[in-house]
Amino acid sequence: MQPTTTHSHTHGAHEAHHEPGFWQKYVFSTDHKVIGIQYGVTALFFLLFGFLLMAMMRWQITYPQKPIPVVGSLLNAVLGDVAAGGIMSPDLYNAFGAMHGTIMVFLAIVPLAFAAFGNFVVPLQIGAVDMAFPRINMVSYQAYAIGGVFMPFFVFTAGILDSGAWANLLDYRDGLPHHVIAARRR
Amino acid sequence: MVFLITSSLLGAVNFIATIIQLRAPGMTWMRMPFFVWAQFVTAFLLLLAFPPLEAAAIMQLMDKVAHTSFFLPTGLAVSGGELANISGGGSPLLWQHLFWFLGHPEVYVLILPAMGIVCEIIANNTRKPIWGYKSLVYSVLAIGFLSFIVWAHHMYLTGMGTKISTFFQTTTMIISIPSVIILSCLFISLWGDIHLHDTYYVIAHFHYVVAPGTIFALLAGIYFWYPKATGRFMSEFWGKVHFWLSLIFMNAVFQPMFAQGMQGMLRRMYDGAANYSLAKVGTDAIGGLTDAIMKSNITISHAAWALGLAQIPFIINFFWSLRHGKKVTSDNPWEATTLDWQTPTPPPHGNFVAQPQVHRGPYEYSVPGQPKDFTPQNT
Repeated sequence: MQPTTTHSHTHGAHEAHHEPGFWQKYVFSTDHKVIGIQYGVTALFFLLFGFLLMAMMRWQITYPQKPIPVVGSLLNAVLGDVAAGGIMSPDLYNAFGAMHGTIMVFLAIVPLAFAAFGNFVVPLQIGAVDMAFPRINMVSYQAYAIGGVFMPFFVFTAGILDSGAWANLLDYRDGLPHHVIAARRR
Repeated sequence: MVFLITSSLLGAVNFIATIIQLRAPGMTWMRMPFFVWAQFVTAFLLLLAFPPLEAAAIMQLMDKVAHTSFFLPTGLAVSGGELANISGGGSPLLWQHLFWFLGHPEVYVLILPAMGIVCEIIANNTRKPIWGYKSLVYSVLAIGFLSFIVWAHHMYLTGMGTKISTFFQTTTMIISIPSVIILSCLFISLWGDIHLHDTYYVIAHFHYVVAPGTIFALLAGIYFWYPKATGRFMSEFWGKVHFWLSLIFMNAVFQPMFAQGMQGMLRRMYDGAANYSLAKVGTDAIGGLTDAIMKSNITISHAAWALGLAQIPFIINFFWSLRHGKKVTSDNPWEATTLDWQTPTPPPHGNFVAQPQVHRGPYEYSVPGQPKDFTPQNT
């Protein structure tokens, strides 16, 4: 579990003052400060990701029906016909808009503002040794990281493309007859 | 989404329990830094607003996989005039209510921690007690309560009826009162200290708290607490470069959008409203968009991409400073009063060398008669 540590303790020698290994210290940490930094770095990554979605949408608005430079062919290869020829289709524009909003609100700003700074600063400012429930704190971060990676992944790979920005988090496309879907679209 | 909601709920419970139970001796409620208050209220908003969304998401999922009709009305007419093959009896409006019952408190979840960060940084950089601490606290509590009864102002066009609309218009106007009190307190705290701008990069950030203010405040927080977390400063020069470029391009992105909106350019048009200009017969035709407004799309986009490039100094600065930043010479490099600066740097697991005893409020800056212009809470 700790292949990167430099010390030479054998298994079973885990006393209380044991210096934690890399995984314990930085990945499965229950220290509120480490968890705060984990939230912060992850949220900054999603902030950049959400920004890049918007940057591609701005290209389509500014130069409609022109192939997106640099990443256009990549989008076509990964997402298929919705980016045929590197050109952003209306469906893809809608999907990017919805994901931009969802990512920025739920995966970037709230984790950064509330969870990252909150975790790092609040226990220090009130003079506590840690959060009330350090392990739940760790699980909270892991649930966020897992959900955060899977949500955009499924949206883009499963072809769930719908409009409605962040107010329309799920889509009915698979479960209803196609003409019902057509009526629901704005 | 279920993962995210679970994460938020667990986090909210954790913060509430921590703030109620784990305060150091002497850390009374009114001695808590404002940032802690903001986090406390935010935690309650998350705790109370997310379950309705989770319920709504499950109902939507049931509509999809179990053929229920929570949100699908009887006689749903579809394209071609056929009736949809559904049991009906639901209401699409219900989804909107459930979503915005989360959605509006959520926007306060976004801004309140940012306001808390701004409050800490202003007090520290102006070397003055924050102006109107108690009004800040009561205002943030009022916002917390009111944010739950304004949600339908996102739904005026759904045909709710004028009486319901009037109620939500009224609550919406009421909630602006505590919001303005908070911003007023922060601005009055700044009064007379503008000349301190060039002493810190961070202090310049919070002027923008009202627009894309959240992100700017968060970046300010990163510059501010970075020395405590890592033991090194980020580069102030590149911080200033990052700030000024971001400020200019952020404005260049959002200012023209006011004008576009006032001319009636709709959002969510994937061709950037080019179809409007095709319909235009003359330069001043009603319903058309002027050339200047159409061309501002180009300006906005280039500003947005430039805004992205302007983040490169920040990203490099962030990682470069981990190893090469100027080392802090003190555990309290900003000479701040709150307990977070009275720990070793970076704080070890367990935080404090000894249990701190709190004797005073969080913002005792420039108190007459004290030897220094800051008096930490634990002295």
